[in-house]
Amino acid sequence: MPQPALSRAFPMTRSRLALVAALLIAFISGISWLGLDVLRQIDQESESRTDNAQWALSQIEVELLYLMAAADSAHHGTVSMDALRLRYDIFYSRLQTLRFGRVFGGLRDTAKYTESMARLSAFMAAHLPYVDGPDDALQAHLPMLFADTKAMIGDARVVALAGVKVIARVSDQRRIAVNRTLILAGLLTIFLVAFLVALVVLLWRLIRFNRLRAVENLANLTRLDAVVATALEALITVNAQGRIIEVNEAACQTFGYARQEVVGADMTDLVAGEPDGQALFVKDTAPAVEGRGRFRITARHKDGHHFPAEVSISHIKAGEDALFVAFLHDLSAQLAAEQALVAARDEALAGEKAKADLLVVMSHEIRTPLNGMIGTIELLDETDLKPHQREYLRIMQASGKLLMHHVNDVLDIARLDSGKARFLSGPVDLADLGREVIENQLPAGRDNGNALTFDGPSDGRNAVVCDGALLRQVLLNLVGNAVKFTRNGQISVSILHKGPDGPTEISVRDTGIGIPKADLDRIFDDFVTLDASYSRRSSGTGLGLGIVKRIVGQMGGTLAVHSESNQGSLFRVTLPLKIRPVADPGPQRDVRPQGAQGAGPQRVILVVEDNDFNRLIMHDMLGKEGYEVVEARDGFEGITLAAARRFDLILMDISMPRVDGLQAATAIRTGQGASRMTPIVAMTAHALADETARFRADGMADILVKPITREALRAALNATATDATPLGAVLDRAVLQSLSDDLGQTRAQTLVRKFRAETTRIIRDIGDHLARTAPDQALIRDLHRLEGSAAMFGASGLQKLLSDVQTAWKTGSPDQAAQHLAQLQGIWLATEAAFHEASLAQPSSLR
Amino acid sequence: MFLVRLGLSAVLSLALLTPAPAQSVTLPDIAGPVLLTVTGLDRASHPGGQIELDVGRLEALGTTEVETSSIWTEGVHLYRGVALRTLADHLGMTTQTFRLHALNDYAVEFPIAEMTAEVPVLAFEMDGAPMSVREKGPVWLIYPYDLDADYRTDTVYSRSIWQLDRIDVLR
Repeated sequence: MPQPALSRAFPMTRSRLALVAALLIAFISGISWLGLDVLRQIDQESESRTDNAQWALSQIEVELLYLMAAADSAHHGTVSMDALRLRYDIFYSRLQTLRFGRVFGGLRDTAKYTESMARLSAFMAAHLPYVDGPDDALQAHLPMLFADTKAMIGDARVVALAGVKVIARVSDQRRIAVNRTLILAGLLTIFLVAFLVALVVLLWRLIRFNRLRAVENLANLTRLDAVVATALEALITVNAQGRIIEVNEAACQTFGYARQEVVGADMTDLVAGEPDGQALFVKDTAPAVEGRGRFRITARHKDGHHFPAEVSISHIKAGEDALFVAFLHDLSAQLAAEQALVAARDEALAGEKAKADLLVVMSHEIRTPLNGMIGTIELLDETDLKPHQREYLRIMQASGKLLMHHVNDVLDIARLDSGKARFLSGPVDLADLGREVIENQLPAGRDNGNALTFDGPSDGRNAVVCDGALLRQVLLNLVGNAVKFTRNGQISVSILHKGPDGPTEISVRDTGIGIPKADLDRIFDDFVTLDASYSRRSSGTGLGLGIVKRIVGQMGGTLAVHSESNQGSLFRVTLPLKIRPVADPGPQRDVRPQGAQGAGPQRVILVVEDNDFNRLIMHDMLGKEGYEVVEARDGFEGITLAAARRFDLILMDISMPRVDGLQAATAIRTGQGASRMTPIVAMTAHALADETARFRADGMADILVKPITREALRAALNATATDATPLGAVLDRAVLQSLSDDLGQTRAQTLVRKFRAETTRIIRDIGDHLARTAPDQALIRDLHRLEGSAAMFGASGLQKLLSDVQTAWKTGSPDQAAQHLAQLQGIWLATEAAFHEASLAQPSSLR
Repeated sequence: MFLVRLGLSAVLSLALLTPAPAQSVTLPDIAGPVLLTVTGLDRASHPGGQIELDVGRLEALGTTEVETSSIWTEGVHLYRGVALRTLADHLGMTTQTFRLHALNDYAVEFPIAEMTAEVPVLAFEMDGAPMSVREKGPVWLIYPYDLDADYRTDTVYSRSIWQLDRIDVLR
């Protein structure tokens, strides 16, 4: 850029300017001073101290000759004695002048001069008495005077010549001094002239440089103008007061103004909303927006409509004034496109959701009657039937179960794809799971002449944490598949941990027909059924492997398949499961004797269900388990019955007319009826995990997913039977559940673990503290914090105790506070036990 | 610059020197030895075209004093005499040139226009005593050399004629 070049070429700083001025002044004063000096010396020259010294000196010779002549003439009588005396006096005066005159001072140093002068003086003194004496004496003395005078001529000449030499030297010296001064003045003048010439050259270069710059700037400006004028983006130049200085064509088009309309206008005319046009460009606030990159504003068109725009602002310093250049881009089209895209996406999502919703509704609508059919078949099977009727019934049952299976498959896919599937981590025993699956598939396998084997982890670490229901489904689908495609072969399931912390590998191997290489890639696609030789006989939706793949993927694992035609297949699932140490006692459940035989007094159960079939099935199933059953046909009836009598358990259908299950359950819980403390188990065909979580949050002790099998029913009955403990008072499971729902189970469990460890430490500290000293304010503050944590994790017993302690402290009863604190340890032990219990009672079923 | 200095010296001289008496004085008869003779005058008004001046006559013209040193003498002396201009005025002369003659035959010409009212002075007395020929008498045309550098120039020195005895008016 020219600026630095200019300063390089002409470093005219203030101090340099001062230096130049000082130099000029020095030169001029030097020359002036020298000039004055020369003048002074010339003056001195004119102010002659020498007089006509040479004349005076040479006259001494002349006047001596006159005196000699006068003496001679007087001797011959041609002049008077007085004339002689006058000549003597004149010479006398001359000699005195030479002797005492200041001007001849310099001569007196010369030896020859001094000697001659001395002789002359002596001569004069010798004849003075005769001159001043009478005429006759003088007359007689004249020959002597003449001779002496004649003898003095040589000395007079010496005096005259000496003066000439010395005076010549003096004037030479003076001339040299003047010359030196003049030369000095001349040199200074030359310097000054050179300096001025240099300044002129510098100025000339400056002028030429500036002219070049001006031309260059003009060219730049012209180019810039062209760029600005033809820029596609709107360009607006604004001064520090927010006034528009210049706009380009694009800006005019964007805002609908003519250039002359908008130049000089205020920026606020073009900008609506925050930040307004003024704030964008005013000097003080500008740094906030300037250099902030691109940001969006709402711009205002001439016709008044607002449009979104993207703007970036640069700050330019033009002399003292700040200028801002705003690059502005109309975003209307872009935003419209974005909105269209969002709308399209929303529509697509809505379509997906409608599909998923349809599937859920259909599953409910299909499964409810199917449930009725299967249940009725089960009941019918227990009546007296003729053999062929029993055979028909078996076929009906098989068909029903198959249909249920298909429906469940479809529902699984929908659920997994919805992203709503929750993974409910809980303790799972891999050996139990494997054997359960093998047992489940044993009959089908036996039908095909297959042998099924299972090998659990060789290190005996069977206890893992994962979603047991989903893992079971993976295994069931894989083993089921293997059974289907194997005749008189071997199906083996093996599980092994590949490292101390996993991953866990589950292999399902068969010696079946295998999968052709060409098909290996598509077996995991949905609705794929391979055209195998006996595939006709094996029914299936083709969703099984798709479900496996989805579950494994969502559990963070991988699924691999190896297969050879007519040799067999190997499906290998690798999952990152949390493996519990062998020493862990693992989940141990108090397994009650099935049914009610010999289990104390008969328990009474209220079944609230609007569907007659289902109510009938539940009645019969529960009756077979040995319970007494009271039926209610809807929620309202259920509430009435529950209020009147204390039931041991209430089974509540969710979807009911008039008052639905949730409303009824809330009414029973919050009412004052006899069964307000009775556990309520929900029955639903709504299988989505978030719903079951909501049911629990609404106070349901457990959820039974329809169709309800005897096993599921028994499990629920057992679970609720253990709930009637005093531990319910110290731990609010609903709070814990909602925490789990809000944060996810894994995170919630981590937090609970931390809370338990922390609280155990704090309570021990408090114990130590109390052993030393009475409760004090610091302790109360700690208790207050602990109370907050307790509330968050549902430790209601602890929370209440801490609250009581603080209340007692605040109301001035430290003794009472100390009594409450004494119970702290006991309450916390009970709470810990309850947390442990709760962690064991993890929901373990999706259905 | 020279003119400025002249002006300045004139002012200073005015302050130092007593003013000259009125122009037309009647000169007394010659009573003592003649110190100075002025020749070349109008024969109509002056018999023989000349006028002789002795101490009495010089005194009658009005005297002025100059205290100064000189380059030819030792020390400062008080000189008394008649300003040359006073004499010129007395003779009614303004434009002529004086030619001054010394006993030793030294001569110098002096235009009346270059004289000021007080300078130079025809000194006939030094330190209250008449000046002998040996002391550059009887008349010495003297300037106040100490007063100003303008009175220390070659021209001034050359005009400082001593042993003056005759003034010739050139026509």
